[in-house]
Amino acid sequence: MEQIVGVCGIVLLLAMILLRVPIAAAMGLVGFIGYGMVNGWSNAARVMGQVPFDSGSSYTLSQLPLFVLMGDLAVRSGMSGRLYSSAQTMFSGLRGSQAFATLGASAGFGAVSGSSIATAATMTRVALPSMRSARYDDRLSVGSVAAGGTLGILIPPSIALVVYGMIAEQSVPRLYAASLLPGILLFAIYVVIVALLTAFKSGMAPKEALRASLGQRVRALANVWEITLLFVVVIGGIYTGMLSATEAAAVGAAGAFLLGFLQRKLTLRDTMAGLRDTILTSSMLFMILISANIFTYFVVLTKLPQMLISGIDAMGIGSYGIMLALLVFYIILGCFLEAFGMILITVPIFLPLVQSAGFDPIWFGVFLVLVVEAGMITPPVGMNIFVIQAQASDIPLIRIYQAVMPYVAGPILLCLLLVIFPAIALFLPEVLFAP
Amino acid sequence: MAISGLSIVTIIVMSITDALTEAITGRGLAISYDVVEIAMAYTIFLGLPEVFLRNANIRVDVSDYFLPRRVTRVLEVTGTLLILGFVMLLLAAMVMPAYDSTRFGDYKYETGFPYWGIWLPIFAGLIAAIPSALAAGGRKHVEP
Repeated sequence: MEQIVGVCGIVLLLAMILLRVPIAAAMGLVGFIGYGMVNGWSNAARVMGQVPFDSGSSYTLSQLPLFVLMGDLAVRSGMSGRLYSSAQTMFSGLRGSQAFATLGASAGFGAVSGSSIATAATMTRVALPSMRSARYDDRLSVGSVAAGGTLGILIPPSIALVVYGMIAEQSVPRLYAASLLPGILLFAIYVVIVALLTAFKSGMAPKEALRASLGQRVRALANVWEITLLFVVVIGGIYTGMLSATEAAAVGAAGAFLLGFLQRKLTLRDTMAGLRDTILTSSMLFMILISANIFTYFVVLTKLPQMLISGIDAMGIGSYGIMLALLVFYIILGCFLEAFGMILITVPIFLPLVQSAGFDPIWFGVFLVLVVEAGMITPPVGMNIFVIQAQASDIPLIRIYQAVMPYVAGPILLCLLLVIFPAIALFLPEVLFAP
Repeated sequence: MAISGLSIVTIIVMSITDALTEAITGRGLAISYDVVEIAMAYTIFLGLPEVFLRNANIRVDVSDYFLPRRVTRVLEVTGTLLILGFVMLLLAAMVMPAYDSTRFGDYKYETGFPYWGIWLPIFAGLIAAIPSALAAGGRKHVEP
């Protein structure tokens, strides 16, 4: 009985989300009604009444608004612009240098922002006008901005990994350690994709005449000291165990403010606007987290994950078969759902299955963020696509869809590599957090 | 919003002070967890009315591309009503645990801060979200 209610609940949830019901309402209502049907309405009300208090005053989740604030202040103090011009110098002389620079700057910005959408929005403002005025093909410029944006949620700090850590009850510092190498690897894959695109289609980007000297490149590298400093202090603090994730996020937010303020690149008005935007983003995310918690109680009660495990066991497709099936499922889901929806709906259902197949939950966090990344640039619902379209409305949506398609291969290829070589994700946490 | 902003600053100051104290003396501040948790509730829930006022709850708008505009408007209104229903359901469900924790005098262990002081912004934020959502819905409805 409870499993039928569970399946119906999930179908109803997906239908509601696709019919424009806010994700928070869809998950919360389905979770409450489903729980009530299986375990009684008074129990459902008891669970629902306690969740806002527990989630909204959680110490672990307090890092979320702080990381959002750090990224916001970094943008407002112009760090992203300096990062892009430095990356331009570093890649100068190559055909398509600005597309490489966009990827480099996105990876660097991902080291302080933690959000894919923030990275894509920032790079759209910073890099896209420059590439278009240099007569880059829209497919190359838009594609590199959209793909570069996805690096924001894989390279630590990552808001998506904090959310996964909460729902899967996993250590955020370990997740941050696990995602660093895959983040660097994904950047490298994107660079190869841009190199292939420009090599085989010379019309994609003009030939670059200017080539920076070694001295200019060194100076360009030194020019991004603020972001390097923030990354070393924040992520280094977490990796060495000197700072908890919340403390590191607080140091990062205060550091971004001080760096901007002392260099007169950040006014008090900017800071206030940053605080306001941070509060809005955080409140919106917490509304979804509260609903997701209610939904998780319902999923656990229905024993759907156990049903899934025994069903898959009976099929005998093996652990690689399971991960391949999940990869295909997530790619399809990513075409229609946004990032947090994907994580919060599927983790309670699939994590037990993944663990029963012998995979580490920390490893699965990285795998999941990768497929979510693919979803952010997969048509028709790709948040990065919409962010670019909102700011460059003269580029038709269909052209953006065409532009991002070659880059979708990046996260998918890396997922396959992760399945074959789990150490790509697990090596660093095992070294850093060895008992 | 001002209280929310102050709460974030409180979280930052408290966390940094805690980290520094631990680095210097080897022992962190005992009250740090409590203060951060209390400030979190004020940060998150007092920001909710603005989220509803700006109609900023995340929705998947893929249906906009293939459904007629009239239908998407109906879906949008339905979505707003459902999120309002969810907020009201949350409020109703929270009354009992909030009443119990106040009745039994629950408080934070390290600071002695009463639980009702945490329930307060939760109720305030969710209650204020209702007129905000209605105002946002009304504004959207009269737009051409």
